Amino acid sequence: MSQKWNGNDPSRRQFLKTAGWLGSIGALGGAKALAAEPATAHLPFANGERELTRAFPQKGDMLLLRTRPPMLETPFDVFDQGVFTPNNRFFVRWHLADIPTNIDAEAFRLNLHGHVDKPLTLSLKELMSEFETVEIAAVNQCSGNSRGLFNPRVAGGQWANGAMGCAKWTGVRLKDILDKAGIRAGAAQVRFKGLDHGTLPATPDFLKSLDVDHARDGEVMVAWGMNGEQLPLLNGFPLRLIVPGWYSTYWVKMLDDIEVLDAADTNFWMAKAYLIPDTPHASVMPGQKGFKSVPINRMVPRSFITNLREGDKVLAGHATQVRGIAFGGDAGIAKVMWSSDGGARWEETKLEQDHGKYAFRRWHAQYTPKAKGENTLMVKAINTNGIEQPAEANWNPSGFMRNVIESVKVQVG
Amino acid sequence: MNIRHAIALSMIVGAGSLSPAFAQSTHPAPIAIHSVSVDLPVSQSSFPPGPGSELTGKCLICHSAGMVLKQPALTQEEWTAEINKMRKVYGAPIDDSDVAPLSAYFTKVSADQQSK
Repeated sequence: MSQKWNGNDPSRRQFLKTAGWLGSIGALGGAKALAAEPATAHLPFANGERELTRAFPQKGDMLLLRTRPPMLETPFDVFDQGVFTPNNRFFVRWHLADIPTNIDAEAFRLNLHGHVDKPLTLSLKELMSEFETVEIAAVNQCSGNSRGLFNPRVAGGQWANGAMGCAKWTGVRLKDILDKAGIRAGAAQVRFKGLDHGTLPATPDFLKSLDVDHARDGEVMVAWGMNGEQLPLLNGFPLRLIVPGWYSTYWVKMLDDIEVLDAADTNFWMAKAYLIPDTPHASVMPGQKGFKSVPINRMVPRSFITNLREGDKVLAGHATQVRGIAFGGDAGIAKVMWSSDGGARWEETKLEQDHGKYAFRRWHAQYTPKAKGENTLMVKAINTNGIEQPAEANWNPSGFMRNVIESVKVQVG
Repeated sequence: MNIRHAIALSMIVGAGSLSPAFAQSTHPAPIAIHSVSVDLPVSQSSFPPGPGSELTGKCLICHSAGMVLKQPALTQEEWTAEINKMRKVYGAPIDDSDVAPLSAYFTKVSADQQSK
């Protein structure tokens, strides 16, 4: 499984320096060649050096943020390869280090209990055969995706833009399971727990809750499948909660316990952690105190250029393609606009196949750089609720919900 | 990876298709589930030497050094807040008297890391 990379190999260094040209022919492969090879990558912020690791089970090359508990970022070139992020490149984020590494699929049980008429204990086989199987394509994005790009910087997992991915999730509706158990009158929230624990007895288990109405909306799922295969262990095998349109913190991995609560959940992970300012764009001034906070919830639209990177070189007068991905957050994509002059003029891009409102949407446009010099390319998504990405970056002390319009500066030669 | 059991789902058949009009589709292709046994790698990162580094073993109870070493240049006040969160929320067995030297150490280490 392990493969040695030698980032100091002088011949490779030379290749990387010369590989950045993209023209109408695109013969040298540009960003793709740049991304595939080096042993380390440098994310675009101070202390952004990351090892590319293949040391994790069921995972290919990933940017190593933390070994234990694992935090692995998807190298950004993966997003240029298609709408669906391969399972072996999908980002990984665990909070607690006691993660089971042996899971017996036949012995595993999902328990549902609490404020219900009839508690349930379900094997995987029962879950797969007693409820209707459904599938949804949805983006799974860490609340703190892009935290490393916050200015001023904030403490936490220092991700660039790769703590996200899009997959087809296969499983059953949470609603169907809850209805089988029978939610009793007075239920307030549904709480989810996985098999992981902290290494110290005092460490609170990772528990997340959704309001009952949300849990029963028919879209929230208990999934065993990811892109047509079982979940990789590090992405939550055997079962993961799928909360389309909401940040990944709610997508509890290794889900084995569902508890219906008769009051709002006051556990640490709901009441104290993963809170955002209750302000537009969850934004406050650095140092601001005394604002009201609420649990993080729905995602907001984002878009990215995936085939051109900062510093890439393009040829004046030659048509090339600029392309990327977008997602609407809690709604579909209405439009993706792009600019080649730093946002002075915007043009609509061509949207590619629609895989459902919660999925990545590929877009492309034709780009013919006019004059030599620097071009600032920008892209912005507008979702079907009319919400568009802001021109100014938000800021909050936890580094959550970045969705500013992204830009890439290229050199026209 | 060890494959021990497979739960076959021969009863669910039919090709899956996603209609954009609805986010969700029914009748996706069946997926076989196999038990999993894996090994997670051991961290190769370690805290650099220096005054206060002798206290960092307590951090490693819960997480590898990478999480600390990849932080931005936090102030000693910010490091103190982080250490106190680890003590109060997660139960890290760090004594009151260790907070000042540990936060001073992290402040220096994180500043030194920023050229990376």
